[in-house]
Amino acid sequence: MDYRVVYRSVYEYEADVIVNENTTRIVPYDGDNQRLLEHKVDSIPQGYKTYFRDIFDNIVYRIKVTEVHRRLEIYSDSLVRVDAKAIRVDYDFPFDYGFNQFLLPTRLVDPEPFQKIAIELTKGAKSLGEVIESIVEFVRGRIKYSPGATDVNTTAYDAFKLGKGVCQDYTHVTLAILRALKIPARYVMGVVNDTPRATHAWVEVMMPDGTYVDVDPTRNRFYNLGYVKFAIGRDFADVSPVIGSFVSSGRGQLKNVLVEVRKVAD
Amino acid sequence: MSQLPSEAWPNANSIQSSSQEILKVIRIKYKHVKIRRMIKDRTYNEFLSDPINRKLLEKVTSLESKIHDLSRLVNLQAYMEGFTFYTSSRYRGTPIDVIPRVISSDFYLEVSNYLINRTLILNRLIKEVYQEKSVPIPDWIVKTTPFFKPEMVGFSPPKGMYVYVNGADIVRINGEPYILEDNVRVPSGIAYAYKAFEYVQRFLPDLSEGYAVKEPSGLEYLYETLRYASGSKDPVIALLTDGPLNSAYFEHRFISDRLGLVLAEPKDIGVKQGEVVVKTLDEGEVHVDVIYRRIEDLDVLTPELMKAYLRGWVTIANAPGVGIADDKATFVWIPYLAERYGISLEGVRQPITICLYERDNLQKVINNPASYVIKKREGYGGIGLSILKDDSVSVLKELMKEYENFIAQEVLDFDTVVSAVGDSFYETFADFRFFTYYDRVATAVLSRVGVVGSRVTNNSSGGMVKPVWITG
Repeated sequence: MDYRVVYRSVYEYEADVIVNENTTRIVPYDGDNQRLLEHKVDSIPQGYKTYFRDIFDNIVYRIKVTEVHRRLEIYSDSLVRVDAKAIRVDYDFPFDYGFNQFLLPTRLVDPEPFQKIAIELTKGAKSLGEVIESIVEFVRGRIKYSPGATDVNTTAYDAFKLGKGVCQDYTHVTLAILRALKIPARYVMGVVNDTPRATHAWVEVMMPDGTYVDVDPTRNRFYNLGYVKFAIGRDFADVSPVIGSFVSSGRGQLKNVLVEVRKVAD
Repeated sequence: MSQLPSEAWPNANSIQSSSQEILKVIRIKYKHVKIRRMIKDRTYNEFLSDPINRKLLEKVTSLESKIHDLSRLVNLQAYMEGFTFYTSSRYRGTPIDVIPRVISSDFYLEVSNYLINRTLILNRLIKEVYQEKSVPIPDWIVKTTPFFKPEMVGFSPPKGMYVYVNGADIVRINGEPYILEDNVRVPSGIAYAYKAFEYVQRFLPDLSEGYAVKEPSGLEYLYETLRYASGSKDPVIALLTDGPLNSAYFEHRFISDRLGLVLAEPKDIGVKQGEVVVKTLDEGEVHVDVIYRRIEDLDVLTPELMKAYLRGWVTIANAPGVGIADDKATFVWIPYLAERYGISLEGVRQPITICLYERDNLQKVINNPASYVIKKREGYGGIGLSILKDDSVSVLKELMKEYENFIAQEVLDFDTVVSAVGDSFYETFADFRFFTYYDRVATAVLSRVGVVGSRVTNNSSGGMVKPVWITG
């Protein structure tokens, strides 16, 4: 399935901005079940642009704008092929994955306080599939979808205690419980393939054979979601679509984000 | 050195293999002042083990309490003369440890040849990244540092020079030098090397009896390097400081006085069509050829200056964007880069250092934290250096959260020295900072001494500075 994917965010500032430097992850991931066929990243006004792959192999553009401005637009336009994966989740649980980076505590996801809950929740579970499904059901039961209740710095445990959140929080809490059970799992940022309004977050769970299966706790969907993933990481802090800083005497704000996903070929 | 009995003063090389054994022998054979020890581990005290210190130790022993009186006087005088550093809210005197650290010319030459080559490698790396647009080490290391300057890509700085000054931190283990880090962004400390040397010569001239001590030099190399880069015979050079609240403001004044540079703050710098000017007290606005910058963030303080630089209107030293070379994650790759560029790196060892983005390395450190010193990459906030031996749980958790921003280094039991503190002499840990000015190394060398009992030798951690004597 080939998709044309467009991302655009617009920032406005109260006063002149002299330097504006941003690190972006707004291009579909090139790997796993995705192939990036074309892509372009740029800004208005234009700036000095650098490309690199981060430690998770995400495509990153760092753009530094030094032309004085009060409005900044950052955009990408890509063509990506998304293939379905062969999914298998009937592996025995528990399984010993050994040492894995995706089991460690992160800035926003500390598995520690979820230890008890995780064990309670998976009593009697025999397969990884059962574990995944019961975690998602539990998380959905505990967190009410409510935009504005949390922000980009909210930790998994804070969102859990609050009982409210958005896709980022559903994802963090799910990750925390999986990791508490020593199941490596990663954060995915990307866009859904049915009329997205913004970027979305979901989970990829590592299977004993080293492959990952995708799960969307926010929308209660499982496996081969067909979404377009942009970046993977330990938590949101690794995959933030646009992060940066600017020099100005005034404040700035994100005016709007536009995401378009259009199917162009089967 | 040669007339000393060899059984009592073995040379440093032979000590290496069995230092502890020989240490005992020496301590029995020689009388000296009482040296207090607050260190649990066994150490190699270079004052007691390296024969180069024999006369000094004798002198110290004969002067004993007089040294403590003079030490107080030196420190009072230094404070009165403004030999200070600024920290959080006030100027603090920079405590001077009046017992010099003696090194041989041979040692200095060995280290200096190494550092010249090392600085060449750093310069070569920076050039490859920005001018040749190829990154010979993992791309993300270079491009995630806040010190990477995208606007430098494709720009050719005057004479291809990026690193005009490199301040390298070196320690010794059984007398052998080890490099701990490079500092190429805004390395500081040379004024402290000059001043500590001067005060001790002025107040305790007796100490140097019997030693042919080299006068400290190095700032003239800085001047010549800056002049060379300017392409002018008699350039106007400004030292750019962010002002009296900079912790090293004393040094900024010291260097500009010595070298006749215009001491300028960001508000004094102006950009006109085709040139950069600086406001001076006596001559008004003057054209500037070179800016020796002692501020980190040119983007925030002087954005126009950066643009003028990219148009070739002025030279900035060190060049913007050099911070990719002294990142701690880059440090790991220096031996590899030496091979890549065919530049020999001999005479100083680099401790075994590993990057933690590699899973096997990360696992090793997490499983066995006490064997490592961990350091966070520059510009990533939080803890700087932690010795996991002392404080493992909280640091380890910090490390796990963003392991790619940490490196781990083998724990080095580096050599100790003797310091005069209060009314006693103590065994302390000390490092060296050597200053390389492009292709020459200053004989003004700084030795920073950790607080009694501590291995941490940063100035900000409350330690002292010690003069370094190069003899023979």
